[in-house]
Amino acid sequence: MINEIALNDWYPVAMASELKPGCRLNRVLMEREIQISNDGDKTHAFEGSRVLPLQIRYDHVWTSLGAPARPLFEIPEGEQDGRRLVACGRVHVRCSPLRAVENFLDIAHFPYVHTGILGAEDHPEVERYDVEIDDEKDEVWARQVKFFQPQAAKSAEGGIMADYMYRVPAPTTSILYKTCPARVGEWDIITLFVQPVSETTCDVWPWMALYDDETPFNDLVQFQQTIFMQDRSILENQIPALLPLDPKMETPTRADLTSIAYRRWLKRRRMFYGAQTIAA
Amino acid sequence: MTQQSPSPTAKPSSSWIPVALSAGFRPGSNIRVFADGNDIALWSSFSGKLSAWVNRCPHRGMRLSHGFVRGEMLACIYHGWHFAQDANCKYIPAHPELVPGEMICAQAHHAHEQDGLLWVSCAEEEPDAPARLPGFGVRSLLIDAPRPVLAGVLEVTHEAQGRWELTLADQPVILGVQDWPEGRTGVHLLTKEAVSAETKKMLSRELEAMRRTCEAIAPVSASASASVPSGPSSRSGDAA
Repeated sequence: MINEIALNDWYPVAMASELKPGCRLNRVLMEREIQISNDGDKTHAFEGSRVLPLQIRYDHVWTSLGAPARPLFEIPEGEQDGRRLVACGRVHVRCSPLRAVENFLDIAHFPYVHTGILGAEDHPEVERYDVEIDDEKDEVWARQVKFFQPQAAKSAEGGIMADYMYRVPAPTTSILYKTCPARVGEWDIITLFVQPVSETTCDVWPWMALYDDETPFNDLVQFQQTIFMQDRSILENQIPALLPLDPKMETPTRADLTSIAYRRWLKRRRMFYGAQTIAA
Repeated sequence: MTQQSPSPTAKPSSSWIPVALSAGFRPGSNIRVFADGNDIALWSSFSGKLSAWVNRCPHRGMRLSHGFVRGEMLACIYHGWHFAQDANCKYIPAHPELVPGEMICAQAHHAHEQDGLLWVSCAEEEPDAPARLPGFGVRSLLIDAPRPVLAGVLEVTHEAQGRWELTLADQPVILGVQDWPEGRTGVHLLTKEAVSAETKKMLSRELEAMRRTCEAIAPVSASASASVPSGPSSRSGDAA
């Protein structure tokens, strides 16, 4: 069921670079067909003849089927000078948009799903970290996350203890702040913008803002694509397809504190699109 | 293999469903099968103990049939949780020091090996073993047609407990029959006597010809198996 909360949010539907003059893109947002077009001067979004709100930020086109209740979230770090902005394109996944976000918040799967890249089986331990639902900002945050990584980024050589922070500024967006191998003291930013196609399918638009002037663009995109293809093999095989919000449905541990907070926050906000609210 | 002495409350042995051939299912194997519409991970430990579990890790719902066998345990591919023969979780890698509580467990069905076939039962009590009918495995095939189409194409002379007896290319054979979702049928072909590799090859080609005939009659799942985004109706859906 598309509830008001889901309807009134902003969603990514295209990369800004796709908007060639005269183009017309057909997309599906929450089971509804929409069009994005560029008349050479401006970009417009429509559902049939109805004009939809539209804005271009973080190299992506954002729209809403309803009346957005709040402005699009800010990523101040992403607009700092000297960062490389990398839009990685679209990955179609047959899973709930919320499952895609939750998986992105999870580090305990690195040793098994991203073996030899983001994790190693002989370093599986997840140390205690801090999680907070920030009521004022209406966001979920995880801080002090540490994890051993054999190859934390395309530019990383050898294993490191990587420091992470996670931020969920909207139900279908997750931002990762991660140790920057090239510049000590700064964070690389990797985000997952998720377009809900239906409750059980989504298009994922990864976007990065990195301090990395060396690695070729294609290598950066390829690295992210590799990681996400590994994630997709998980996401398309979780049962049920919808994210269960009933705590009795699944069995979390301390390593899952971010996911627990995320589910609790969704429930509190009554964001149920892509969620299962009743234990089956 | 896991057979116990028959109990008076046991359900009829017809509730065993043939899900795979024994031949080729080596220790350490782990595959996805269906029985009575249930999604199941069928796996064999290094010592050859067979288990059939609900295909869902209790942690984050990942299909256990994607997992890997380590010794006598099955590990989920998502976070590496290890489950022992009794289906209890014994090891959570994110917390190596933690001893998981007994509440954390997979859900087991019954598994059994007999007459060249692997069998699964989703009955509450383990049923009596199927009647003896020795067979020598040739191959398994997944057919894009429902069981009644197969029954119409083949001249089955005897049928009991999911096994059809018939003659294929002048050979007396047994076909284990297993319903899959979306109108598909899994078949497991066995000969009644040991035969040459040449005969097996010939039977295998016959089976493929039979599949083409059945699929030409019933192009059912062409639409059913396509990935249709399921709408709100799946909300209360498929938590097996």
